[in-house]
Amino acid sequence: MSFDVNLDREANLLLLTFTIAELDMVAVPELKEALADRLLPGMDVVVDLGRVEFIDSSGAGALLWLRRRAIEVGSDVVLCRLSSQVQQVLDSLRFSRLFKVASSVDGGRRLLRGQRGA
Amino acid sequence: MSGEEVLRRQLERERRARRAAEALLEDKSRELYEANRQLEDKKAQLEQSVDERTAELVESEARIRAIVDSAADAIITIDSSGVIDSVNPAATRIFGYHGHEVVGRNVSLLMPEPHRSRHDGYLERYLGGSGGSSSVVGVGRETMGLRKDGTVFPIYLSVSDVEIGDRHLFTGIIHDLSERYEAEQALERAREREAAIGGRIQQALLFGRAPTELVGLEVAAMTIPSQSIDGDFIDFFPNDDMSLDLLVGDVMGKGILAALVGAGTKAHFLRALHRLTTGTRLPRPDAVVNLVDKALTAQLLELETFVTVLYARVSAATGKATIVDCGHTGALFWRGAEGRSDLVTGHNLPMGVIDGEVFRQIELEVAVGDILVFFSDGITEARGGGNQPQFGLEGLQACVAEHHEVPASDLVERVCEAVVRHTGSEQHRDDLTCIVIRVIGRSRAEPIVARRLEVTSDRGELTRVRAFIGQLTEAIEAAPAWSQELATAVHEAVANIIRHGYRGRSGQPVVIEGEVFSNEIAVTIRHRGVGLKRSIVPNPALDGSEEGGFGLYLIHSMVDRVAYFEDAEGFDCTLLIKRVEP
Repeated sequence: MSFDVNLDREANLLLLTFTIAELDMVAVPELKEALADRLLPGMDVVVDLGRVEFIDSSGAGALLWLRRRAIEVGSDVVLCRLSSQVQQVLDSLRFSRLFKVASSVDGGRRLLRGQRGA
Repeated sequence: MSGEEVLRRQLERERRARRAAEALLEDKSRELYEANRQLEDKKAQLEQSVDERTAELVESEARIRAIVDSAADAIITIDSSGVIDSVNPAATRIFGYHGHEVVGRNVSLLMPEPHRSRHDGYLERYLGGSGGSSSVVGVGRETMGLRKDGTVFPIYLSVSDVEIGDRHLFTGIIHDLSERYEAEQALERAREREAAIGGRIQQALLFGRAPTELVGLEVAAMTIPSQSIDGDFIDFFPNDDMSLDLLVGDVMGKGILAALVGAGTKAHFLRALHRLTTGTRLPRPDAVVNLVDKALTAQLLELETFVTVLYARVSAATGKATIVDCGHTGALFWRGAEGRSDLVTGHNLPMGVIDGEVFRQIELEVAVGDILVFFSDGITEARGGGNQPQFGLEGLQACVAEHHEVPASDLVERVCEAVVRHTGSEQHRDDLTCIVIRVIGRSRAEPIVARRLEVTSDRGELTRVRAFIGQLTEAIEAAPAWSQELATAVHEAVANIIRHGYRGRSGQPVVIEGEVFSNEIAVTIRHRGVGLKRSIVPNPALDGSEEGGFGLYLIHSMVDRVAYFEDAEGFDCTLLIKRVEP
């Protein structure tokens, strides 16, 4: 698997941790399969990209798919710990406008909590 | 002798004398009668001839009156002070007055300003014997008239002067030019409309834009349309980023028909090129021309026109130029290494002259520094007024020799300037069309570092590809972010080749060549698969509505130049250039 998925029932969120250094087209079908029935309505997603050194356009497409699924079930997605190359690609595709971004996983959680509180 | 005898003799004498006197009287009387009778005859003759002459005069005057009255032109007689003496019916009709409204008034009534207030002066000057040279008398000229309703209209006025006794009269004959002017203006408007339509056809349909973004080739075109629509046309079909096909032609004849035939010919070429292109494999130029000819010549024969065409393909990647010259001007080929130019022409007829002409192509090797000039005969046949010589091929050759080092866009301007200077006019009998292609090579400098990597079409190889780019950028101590961008772009390009070029087939060759220059890095990726989508990259929607199609966009946003081309060995190539920011 390219990633681990952990459910935090208390905070009602999924923690998606990529365990690979390259996020490319290989990850897309896996991601779709793993998340198809685990992402429940109202459940937010924290994506930890800390170990991903390189992302290509199909990897960016995978993140976009995730965002769309989340919107369908009324959830929110935050991307955490972006490498400079990941940041570069997301900036270049102007995806920075579509995603919330945090520098740490805790920061990502806080971002979602702060938003819920508000 | 008796007295009686004496008396008898005397009586006898007297009787004879009386008889003689009576005879004399009778003679005289007869003479008188005769003279009288002759006099009567003369008188009668005289009376008859007077009658006849009078009748003639009456008839003649009636005839003149009839002519004057029925004339289509206004005939107005004035006296030496400008007062109208008589007008004919045409004058009243043309100027809109009744006769009694104008007779006795000054003729300036019938003129607009400034003549109205100056007319008395004209008369005075004429009668005073000065200003004769500017006088209308005996000359006739176009001027303006003024109708009763205030409208000013064009007239042709001729004036003659007559002296009768001590009276000096002027007779003006005035021809109303309104209708002719209107007809002329309508004709002029129609001509302008046709020119405008033709001009629009020319701009929109006949003059294709020269591609400016090719790698290794500079292409520039200039057209100076003539007053009439001349039927010159040009078009460019970029094949990939290092090669193009081009078309330059001239339709026999002028006007809208020529423009339409030109547009039609272009469409035929585009269609033939598309029909014969299989995948990304281009047809031979002569095949394109022969297919066009098959479709077009019958139509041209029917229209009784023909088209001279030059169809060419120039590739900086293969170093080849191919030319099919169908009765056109040929192409001027400047060989940079030799420093001279020659005309390259074919032996083919124009299209539309005969059925079944087989068009043949000429192949040239082109190198960096070479120049090809394509043109219409308007350039070489341009001449100034009088017996000036034509600009000629020599003029063109001299111009290219002088300016062979300037960019194509400047050279094409120099050529047109030289032609305009030669003719001494901004208006030309024929369209001036000139296309310049300079082979400039990709880079003038030698690379600092050149490396090569051979991989196979497997995703696992992408890591090696990125590492290769990393090593390459180390050579110029590039910033990490800069290197990452180049690596991402090359990664995407190779991923595209694996996915689309080889359609996922693994183990196929992909060759990556990196050249490091002081100001840029150029990476060429070659493969044997299906040619990649050429040059046109639609921007993907970046609003999250699509999940794919970002690869090409990423490549374009991360390097400065992306070019696709086919090299001399038939490899499909992707060239990425990223400039080093100073």
